[in-house]
Amino acid sequence: MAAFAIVHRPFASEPFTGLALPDGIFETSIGVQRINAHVTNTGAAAAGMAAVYIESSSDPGIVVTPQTHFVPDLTGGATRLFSWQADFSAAVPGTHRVSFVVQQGAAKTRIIKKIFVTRVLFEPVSGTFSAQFPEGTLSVRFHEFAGPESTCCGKRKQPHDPDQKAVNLLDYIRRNGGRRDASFVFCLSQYLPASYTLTFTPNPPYAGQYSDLPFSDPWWKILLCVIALLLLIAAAIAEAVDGSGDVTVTGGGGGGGNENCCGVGAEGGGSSYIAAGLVAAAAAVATAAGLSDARDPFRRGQDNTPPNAGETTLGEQVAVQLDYVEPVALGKPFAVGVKWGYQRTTDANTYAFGVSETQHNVHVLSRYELNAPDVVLTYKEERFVIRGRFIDKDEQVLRGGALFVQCFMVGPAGQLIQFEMQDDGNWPDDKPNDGTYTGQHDFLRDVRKDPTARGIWTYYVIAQDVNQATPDMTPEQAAQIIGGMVVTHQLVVDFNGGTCPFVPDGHVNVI
Amino acid sequence: MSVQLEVRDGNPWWLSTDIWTVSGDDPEAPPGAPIVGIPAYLWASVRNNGNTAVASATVRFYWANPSVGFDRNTANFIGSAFVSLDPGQAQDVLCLTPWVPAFVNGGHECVLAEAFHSSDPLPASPAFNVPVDRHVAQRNLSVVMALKQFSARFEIHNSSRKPRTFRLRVQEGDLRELQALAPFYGKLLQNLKPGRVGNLRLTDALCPCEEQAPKNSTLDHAPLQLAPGARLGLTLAGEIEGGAALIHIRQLDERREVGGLSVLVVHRQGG
Repeated sequence: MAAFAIVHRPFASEPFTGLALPDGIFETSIGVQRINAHVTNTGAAAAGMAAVYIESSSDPGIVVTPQTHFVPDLTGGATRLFSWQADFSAAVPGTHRVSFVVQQGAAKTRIIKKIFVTRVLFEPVSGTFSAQFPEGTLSVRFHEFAGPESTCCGKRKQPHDPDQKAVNLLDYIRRNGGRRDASFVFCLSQYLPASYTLTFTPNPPYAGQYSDLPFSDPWWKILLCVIALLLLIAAAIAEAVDGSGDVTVTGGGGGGGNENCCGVGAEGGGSSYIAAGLVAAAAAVATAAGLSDARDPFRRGQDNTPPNAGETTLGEQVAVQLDYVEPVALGKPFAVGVKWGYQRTTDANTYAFGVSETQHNVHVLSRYELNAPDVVLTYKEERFVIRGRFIDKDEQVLRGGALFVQCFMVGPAGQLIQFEMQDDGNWPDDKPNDGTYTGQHDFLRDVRKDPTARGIWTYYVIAQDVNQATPDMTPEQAAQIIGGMVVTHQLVVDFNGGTCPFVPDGHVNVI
Repeated sequence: MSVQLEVRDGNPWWLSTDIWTVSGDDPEAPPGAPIVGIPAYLWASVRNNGNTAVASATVRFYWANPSVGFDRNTANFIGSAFVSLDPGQAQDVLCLTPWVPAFVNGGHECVLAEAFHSSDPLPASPAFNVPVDRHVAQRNLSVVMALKQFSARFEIHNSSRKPRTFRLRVQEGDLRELQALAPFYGKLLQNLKPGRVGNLRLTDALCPCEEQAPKNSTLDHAPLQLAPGARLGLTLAGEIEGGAALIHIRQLDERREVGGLSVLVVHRQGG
């Protein structure tokens, strides 16, 4: 008998780059984003035709665009990714619930899952970004970014007014984030956060040594990753729209970084969106790596600064300086030097603790293998079918719901096509859970509508890991499991100047 | 080929058995009466009487203070849900947005659900028209526990842009009318025995007491003229001895019944 479950927390992906957000956290300032959920047939028998839809959410501010997906069959143990569009603009920051329904004839399974929603705000006076969540607020003030010394940028359409340093880049996401423009050209002069100060204001102030975790789950640094990702996407949009995508302008601190990053060049249109997504992903991965998945600086600071009995902690601060000792290579185990100082302020004392160490990126693949045709003959009604296998650092093949895999294809005229790759045994995938993720695209419709769709297309298969925490874990256990990080190898940000390796996975000639 | 969505009315029509509440944190727990200050989740049973399947039909849920005559503009929207239905199929639909019954309405259960789809839209009117519109159903029941004297306040709404005249008719119902609702109220509706109702009246007094001589009280209230958008507060008062009583309040305009609510009065043993 078929039985259905959504084993892991549903996660967000944003519309501008199409990538999942760090740890799948939903963000109100993006507005419209996608709710993604892996549905598993936990029974032994094949499920047969089933309809899957979102029934309801606990926050009426989450406005779901109704959509019922039909899946021909889901064999026992198979997992399929489903996604829905929803507008989070009016959502309340916090933990919310979403009910999913899997329906087969008269039989119906209702699955209620938690999601996390944050709200990132920009405070222009202090130049800080803040992320709100039920347990408090995390603010960040960026001091330095690493970036290329010379860039393609500088095509500023509006003169930079030094008195107007507090530009709210998040507004660009609200205004433009949901649209894709073929003329968009990616260009950023700062990529990687290098120095910043984080402030956690608990709600309410707490007694004892340890505060609650954000959403009772992820480390504080995940919210920093969300902010960093949003900031870079917003900056990329702002730079393209009116040349105002200077991230240090928002933060109010100093100028560019102290490292000579390579520059990421993109040809415009589709490849620019992919470049924007990968650079933002690199910033999130570098941030996560520097602050450690095992126990982040706030928790380690709390470990080492027990307050006296009867004291109440009013606020905590972590000042971070990152040293990129190795190139930031998506999906590879690069090292990051980090110095951070933690400070706890109670109603009676101030306590401090500091660390200088080297951390490593743990969101890695040892390799991945793709199989796709070089030529697609549309006049023979051939489809483009692509298959991928992803092998982790322990040489284990990743399967089913372990990854969020998408194929991005950039056409001869900058067109961008995006589709998911599944390991569920439904066409075009051959077998469920065999570790081969498969997706397909029918170019025939494209070439009928648009003659420029004929020619060489470039494709990128981007895989992101998925938070594998389960509901039975304690918050401390769940916090150590982080998802939403890019693990494929399309981008390396090195520090030797020049051009960053921004490597597509292949090309196909559409005839 | 058609889609015909329905949330069934009850008997009387404002006591639908296709809407119910679950009190507490677990929306999938057994049904129970709403409790002041405790989140309650609303459910509706939605059916497709047509011969065409429907995907992602919308179901909206509302609550209102004890009242008759409210519409989509004056009811309080709780949240919405979606349902996909084959022809002839019925499904229970959960609204995951919690409703927290407020102290001001004493946990009174006036809840409403409506189902629609672009292929089977709602009438283009803010009025719910519960008795004639299959898309919408209502549960409008107050439960009052009383030692002897009881009172239940409610409002009468004129949601029209024109002045309207309404009559209110109060009549005792039969406890057997609640049998269909028993599964949704836990033990509350079990083993109810008919009690004796006395001094039953409608009054505009806020808190009618025994020593107060009832004013403007009647079982068939004199016509009430309400200005456009106006609301008028009234109180159903009386005495109960031994057992329970079901009392219906019907709102009538010149031609037809346009609203109604019921009050279950349960005699509580003194102690």
